[in-house]
Amino acid sequence: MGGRKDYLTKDFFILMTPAFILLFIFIVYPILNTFYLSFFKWDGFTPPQFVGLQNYEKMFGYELFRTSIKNNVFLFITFLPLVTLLGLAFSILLHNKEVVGRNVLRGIVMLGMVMPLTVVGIVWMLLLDPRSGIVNKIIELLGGSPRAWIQDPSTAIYFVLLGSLWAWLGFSTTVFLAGLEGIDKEILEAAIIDGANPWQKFRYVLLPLLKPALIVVVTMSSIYILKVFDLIFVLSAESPPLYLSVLAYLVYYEAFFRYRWGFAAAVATFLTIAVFVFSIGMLKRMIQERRVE
Amino acid sequence: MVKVSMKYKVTINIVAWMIGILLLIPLFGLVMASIRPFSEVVSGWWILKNAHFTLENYIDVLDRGFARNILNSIIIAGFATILPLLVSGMAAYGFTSFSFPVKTMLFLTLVAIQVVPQQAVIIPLLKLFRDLGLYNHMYGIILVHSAFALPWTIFFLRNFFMSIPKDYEEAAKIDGLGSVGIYFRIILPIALPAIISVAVVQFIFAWQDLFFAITLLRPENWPASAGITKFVSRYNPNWGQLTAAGVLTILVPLLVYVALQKYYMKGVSGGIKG
Repeated sequence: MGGRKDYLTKDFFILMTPAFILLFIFIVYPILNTFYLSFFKWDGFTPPQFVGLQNYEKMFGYELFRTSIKNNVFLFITFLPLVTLLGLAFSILLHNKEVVGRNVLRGIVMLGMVMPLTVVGIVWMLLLDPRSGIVNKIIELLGGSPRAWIQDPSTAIYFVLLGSLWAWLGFSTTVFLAGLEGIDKEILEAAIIDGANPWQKFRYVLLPLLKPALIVVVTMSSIYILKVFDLIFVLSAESPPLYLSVLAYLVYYEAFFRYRWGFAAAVATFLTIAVFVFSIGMLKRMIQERRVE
Repeated sequence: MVKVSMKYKVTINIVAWMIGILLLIPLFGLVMASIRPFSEVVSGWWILKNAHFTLENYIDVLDRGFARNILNSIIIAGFATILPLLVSGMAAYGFTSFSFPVKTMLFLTLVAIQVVPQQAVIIPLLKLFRDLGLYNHMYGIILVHSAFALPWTIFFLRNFFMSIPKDYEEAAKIDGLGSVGIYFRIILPIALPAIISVAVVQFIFAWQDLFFAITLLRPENWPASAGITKFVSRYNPNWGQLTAAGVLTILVPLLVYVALQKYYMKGVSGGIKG
């Protein structure tokens, strides 16, 4: 990346300053300040009181924090493989020239991504409703017994999983499709002429070529599911759905229901670090490919 | 070329379209529940025998002030698209055309900031909003959305600007234009397709926001994505109103998406991949 060296000009500062003022005031400073506040006991009104690492110690022994971690982990280990594999399978299907109306299908798979997650939540509340939901009707037809999926704390997490999958499948499919379109057809045809069977073709030719897309999908999906919030909030009409709490929801609950701002800042810091850990792989690759210079 | 058998062709078409229909059923349910009486929804919105259709739910929802929520959404998402585009386009061009110390570091930081959860900033933001009197004002939340849009939009636009041949700029420089002039007169018009892609993605993204809305605004100023939660009940939902509000909430982003689908796809796959 070249560029002019005479950056000490009026024009340079006119171009750059507005963006960096906004970024500093509304993102960089608040992140650092959240970290700073996590060492204080503070209700948001009276003066903050320095408590050292107490918020973090309290956090790890806190029942609701453990529930949140448990839910985050469950969603992560179910959502990530599902959204990746389904996206991969669907993109291969949609890439196939023999499928009629591919563009319409591409449009359909993206619909969930265009909707606010609160509406996605409402849609799945309707489908999973114990009395009138289509999911229970299908289960009954298949000889199973209906359940109160969302109202029963032991199954409510599937509501979050299904909603997230339906909303995010469009993303993984689209990224894989873009990856597939970038692959030279001659490579695939050469593999077939060489006598590769479909599995070999997928495993030794397609998959290595799709690695960049795979990294994007895995990273962005990990971050997406770690940040899940809306599908839990949408259930909070009668009371906070604490059995479904996740880290992002816990920050909200501690700050807005219990006014423990210092403690909420500690949970927020933990969540931020977790998110960064999962984005390291992609950042590293970007540096290697010199895409950030 | 490998010859394709008819059986294979029929099979993959059936599989593809079955998945497509499966993905559409939830949306079909949303629409059906919103235009049918409560009793028919409870006994099964998918049963089309003896179906009655009504717009009553929509009238009820609008009577309860939901039009205001939609208007709030339009204002917030609209300005939260225009402002960051203006700012990020300039910065992206600055990154493209100048070379300066700590540039790589700065750019890397920008890329890393993309993933920051909204919860990571909310507590200091609330204090800031209280101190500056921004709380419960739409321009406050517009500024926050704009800041959060900058990292990925700068990244996306910089990548596009890099692909523009340098000849255009050289010619303009001879004519005596400065960098700001070159950006607005030469680069911006060429970059219009990229700008539209970014705008569509950002508009839909801002429209979806819930967290900043519920924390930085009082309910009367909530956009539709947040306002819709007042119709929700975990145990005793009024399906008609709930789903009618849902349809109204997705109407605008859906229209934008359908009209500009090509740009949206480019924005989604290109914005993150770079």
